[in-house]
Amino acid sequence: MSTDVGVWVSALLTIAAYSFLWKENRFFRAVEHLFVGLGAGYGIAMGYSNIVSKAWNPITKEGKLYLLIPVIMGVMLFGRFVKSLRWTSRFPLAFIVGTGAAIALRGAVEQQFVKQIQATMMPLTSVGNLIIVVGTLCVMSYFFFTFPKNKALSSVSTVGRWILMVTFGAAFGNGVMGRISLSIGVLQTLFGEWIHLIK
Amino acid sequence: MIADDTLNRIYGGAGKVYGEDYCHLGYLAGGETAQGAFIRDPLKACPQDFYGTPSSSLPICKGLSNGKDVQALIYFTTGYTAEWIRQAGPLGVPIIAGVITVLGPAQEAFVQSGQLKGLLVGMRGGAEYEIIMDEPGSAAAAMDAQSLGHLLFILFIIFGNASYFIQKKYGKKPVGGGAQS
Repeated sequence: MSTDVGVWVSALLTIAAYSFLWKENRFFRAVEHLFVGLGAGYGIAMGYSNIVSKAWNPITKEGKLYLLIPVIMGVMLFGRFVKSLRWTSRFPLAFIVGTGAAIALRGAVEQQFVKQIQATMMPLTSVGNLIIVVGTLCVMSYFFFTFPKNKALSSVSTVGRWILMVTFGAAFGNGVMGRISLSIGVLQTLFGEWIHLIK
Repeated sequence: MIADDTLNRIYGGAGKVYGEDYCHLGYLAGGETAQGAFIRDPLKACPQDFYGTPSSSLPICKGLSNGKDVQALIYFTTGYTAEWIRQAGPLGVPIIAGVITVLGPAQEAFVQSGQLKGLLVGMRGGAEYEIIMDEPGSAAAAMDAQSLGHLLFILFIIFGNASYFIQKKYGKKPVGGGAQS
């Protein structure tokens, strides 16, 4: 058995979390609350650290007064908690959403639209390329909802639906595989680090 | 803190020197906006490292003015992954990703298009990396357990389907009131 207190705490909390598989109990609830509390506490600590290192110190020690603008905007976000000041939170929120959208869209058009379309424009010289091109066209035809499909188009869109199902199946299969990986990691900690059954 | 422990354990253990071979610039809040700012000017986005030392004074950061100065951007994530492709892709920075298994299929499209130069997917990716590096370790060892887990799932699926069709044939309502055709 491990002599490390941290490993013991981790193992006991893991078992308490897994005890939900039997039924809901006070140990599981305690771990649940602890998890949420730790997450919130960590978030607050990170936020405080960010304010100190990126705003407070540069303003007070380096005289970077222009950083007061984002600080004031950050404070304005809390205006939503006071009814008479609720309107003040709209400005920083609009700024965050606006800049966020602009920054994301700038790269999205080229990287997720143009380049992904380019990637499907390939010579039909191999089975793999053929599957990608035909598969893309079939799946796109499935999403034609604005006009009635004739028999030929219906057949193509049915193939597209099957391709979508295969894709979702692969994603689900990977999801299951991921959960198994996580379980294996937990069991490795329990049987390896805690009770030393696995070397 | 966990990142700092891990970096120092791995790089420090390999004899690498902090500041010269690696550095820890801490956590940068702000999501994609922060990622964009970082890749355009890393030292401006992170003026100090995790310990409060000015980033520009670290030898490893000398001459680092924007993302084009790095040889590769390698990220590991458990969430949405297109942010780095959107932000670093236009600069032409080679991007390599390590993602959890669930995210694997969605990333393959970026590998296919050449936007990702490499992709490490979950435990299987870890095992493949260990084998390529000729250093089989915990991921390669855990693949046996994973394969056995898959076998168990396949058996459960076969068993579940068989019991469903048997119950349907003999006119008995499936347990849990499954959908009837």
